[in-house]
Amino acid sequence: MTSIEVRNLTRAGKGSRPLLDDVSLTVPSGETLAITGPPGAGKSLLLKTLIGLEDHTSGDILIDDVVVNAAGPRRRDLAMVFQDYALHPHLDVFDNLAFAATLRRGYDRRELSERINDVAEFLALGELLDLKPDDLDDAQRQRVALGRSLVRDAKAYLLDAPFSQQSERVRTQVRSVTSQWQQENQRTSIFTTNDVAEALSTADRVAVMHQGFIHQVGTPRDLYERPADMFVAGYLGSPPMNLVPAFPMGRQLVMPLATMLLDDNLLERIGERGVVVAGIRPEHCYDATGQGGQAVTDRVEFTTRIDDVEWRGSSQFAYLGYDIAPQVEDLLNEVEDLLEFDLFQNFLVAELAPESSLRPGMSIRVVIPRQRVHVFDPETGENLTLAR
Amino acid sequence: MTPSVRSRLWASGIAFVLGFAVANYGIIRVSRPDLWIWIGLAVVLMGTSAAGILFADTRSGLSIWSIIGVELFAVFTLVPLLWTFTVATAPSGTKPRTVWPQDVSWDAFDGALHSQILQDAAVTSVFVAGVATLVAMALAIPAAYALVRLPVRGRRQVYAVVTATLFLPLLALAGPITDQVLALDKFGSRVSLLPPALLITLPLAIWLSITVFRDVPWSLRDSVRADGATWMQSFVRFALPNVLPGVFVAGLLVFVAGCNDFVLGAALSADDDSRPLPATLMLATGQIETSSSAVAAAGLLWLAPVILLLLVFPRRITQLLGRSYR
Repeated sequence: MTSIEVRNLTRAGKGSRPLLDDVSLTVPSGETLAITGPPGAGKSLLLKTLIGLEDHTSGDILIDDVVVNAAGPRRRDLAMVFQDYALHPHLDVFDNLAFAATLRRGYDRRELSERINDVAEFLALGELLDLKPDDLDDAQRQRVALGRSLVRDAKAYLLDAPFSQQSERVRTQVRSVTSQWQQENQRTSIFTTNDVAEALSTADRVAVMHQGFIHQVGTPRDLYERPADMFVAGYLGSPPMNLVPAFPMGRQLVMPLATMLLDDNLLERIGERGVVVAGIRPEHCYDATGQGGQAVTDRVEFTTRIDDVEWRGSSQFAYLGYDIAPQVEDLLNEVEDLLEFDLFQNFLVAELAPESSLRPGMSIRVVIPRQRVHVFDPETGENLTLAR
Repeated sequence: MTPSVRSRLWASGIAFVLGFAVANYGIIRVSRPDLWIWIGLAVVLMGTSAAGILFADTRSGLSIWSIIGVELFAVFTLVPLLWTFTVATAPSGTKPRTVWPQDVSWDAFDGALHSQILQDAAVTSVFVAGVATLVAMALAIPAAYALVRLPVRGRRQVYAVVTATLFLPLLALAGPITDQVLALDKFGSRVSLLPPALLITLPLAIWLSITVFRDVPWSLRDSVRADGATWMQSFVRFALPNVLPGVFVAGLLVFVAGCNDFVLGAALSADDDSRPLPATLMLATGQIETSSSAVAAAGLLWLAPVILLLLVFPRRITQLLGRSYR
C-alpha cells in the first residue's frame, strides 16, 4: 500500500514555458489516477519524472511520505509501462514478462513462473509465451508491456497510455481485468491516456493536464459537471462543451442565440467584465418538444434553424450555426493561440433524442436549464459559476 | 491489365530476350566448357521469364525486375570470382584459356600460404587495420552516441562532413601524406601507415556507429532502469545484447575496409617489410614465384574472411549498410 505525492514539481524547458509547470498531485494508497490531456501535454514526462528517469528543476516527489528526489528508479521501486512497449527484442514473451523480477536477488523461480502464467492468462497472452516481440502485433506487444509491469511486485504502477493500441472490444476487456487486478491487489496506479472516455470510466480520479500544467484533479463526475476552467470544460466530453462568447448587459447575459437572466451571485462574480464565455454541454441543449425539454422549468430558450444533423446510432446531434463579431472572434483566437487548443466553433451542438425526426433546414426550439450554463472568464479561463 | 501486371510482363519479356540472346551467343561463339556458363545463364533468365509470365497476375511481393537485377548482379560478381579461381588453380606455368577451371592445381594456394612476402604483407595489413580500427572505434563510439542521443548543436553539419569524408579521394591525399611521413623520417615503417589509415577507418567507423546507435531501442534502456537495474545489470542485460553486436559488426566492417586499402599502402611503403597485402599483390608480382596464379590465390584467401563475415552476420550487415532493407 503506497501513496504518491507531488509538490510543486517544475521542469524548466528550452523556451519560456516550463515542461512541467508547478504540478501538485496526491495519489492515496490503492487509488487509480488517470492523467489525461492532448498529445504533448507532459503526461509521459511526468510519469518518467515520478519513476526517476527524468530530472526536475524544483519541487518534491514523495513516496509513502518520504521525499525521493535524489533516489534512483531502483530505490523508488515503481513499475512502469512505456508507451512504445520497451520490450526486449531478443527475449521471448515469457522472459520479457520475467525480466524485471529477475533483476532482484532471491526471487522464487517457481512463484515467478506461476505469477507470469496468471498474468499471461488474464491478458490473453497464454498462447504467445514462446514468441519474440517481433512476431506479435502492436496490441499483443502492448499487453506484454502491461504484463511486464504487473508481474513485478512494485510499490505502485505507472502506465503510459497502456491501452492505446487495443481494439475497442479488447480494450474494454483489458481495462476491466487490469482494474480488477488493481482492486484485488490494492495497488496504487497512475495511467495516462488521450482518451477522455477511458479516463472518466476507468479511474477513481482524473487529472487534466495541458502544456505541462495540471488544470484540475477530481472525480470523473466532478470534472465533467464542475470543470474548474475553460480548458477542462472544452477538453472533456464528446462532442465537447459548447463555448460561446457572451456579453453581460445589466442583469442579462446575451449569448449568440439566447439571452439568460443572471442571478445575484453570478452577477457579482462577473463584475465589470465586458465579455465572458458561456459553456453549455450538448446534452443540456434540449429539443423543447422532447421529453427532456418539457421537464425543464428554470430555462433559457431560443428558436433557430438546424444547419446539420449528425446521426451516431444511439444518439444524434444538431448543429446550430451563429455569427460572431470580428473583434470578438479575434479575442477568442487569442485565447486559443495561448492555449494551443481549439475551443471555439461558430455553431452550437444540441443532442437530440435518437428517435427525433428533425432534419437540416428545419426549425428547432431549444431549451437549456439555467443551472447548467457555465460562465468562464475569457482571460484566466476560470469557471465563475462554481461558487454558485 | 493493371500497371503492375503490365510491368511484370515487360520484365518477363526482357528476361526472355536476354536469355535468348545469351543462349544463341553461347551456342554459336563459345566453346566448351565455358558454353555451360552461357547456357546456365540463359536457362536462369528464360526460367525467370517463364515464372514472371506464369505469376504475372498474382499479388506476390517479389518484383520480377528485382529478381532479374539480382541475377545480373550475381553474374557480374560470380564470373570474375570464377575467373580468379580458375587463374589461381591453373597448373604452374600455364595460362587458363577458359573461364571454367579445367586442370585444377592447388600449388598456387600452397605457395601463397607459404610465401614470406605475402605473410609479411598480411601481418602488416592486419596490424595497421587492426590498430586503426581500434582507435577509430574508440573515437567513433562516443562521437556517434553524442550525434544520435545528445542535443549537440550543428550535428547535421558534423554528420554531413563525416559522410563527405567517406568519399575523400585518397589518391589526392597520398602525396602530401607521404611528404609528411618523409619529413618525420618514418617512411617505410608499419607505424607510419597508422595515422593515414585513420583517414579510411575513422569516417567509416563514425558513419556505421551512427547507424548502430540509431537502431538501438533506447526506450528499452529507460525501461531497464525503471525496472530497477543496477549499472552492471543495465550493461549486461541491455547494452550487451542490444548495442555490442552492432558495434562489433561495425568494427569488423571497418577492419575489412582498412585491410583492403591499396592507395595509401602503396604510397607510404618503401619495401616489402612495411607494405600491406593489397599493395603487395599489385606491386610485388614479379617477386612471387608463381606470379599471377599466386596473386589470384592470395586474393581469394584474403577474400575468405569477408565472405565468412557475410555468412555469419548477414542481417546485421544489411542493417548497417542499408537500413532500408530491414
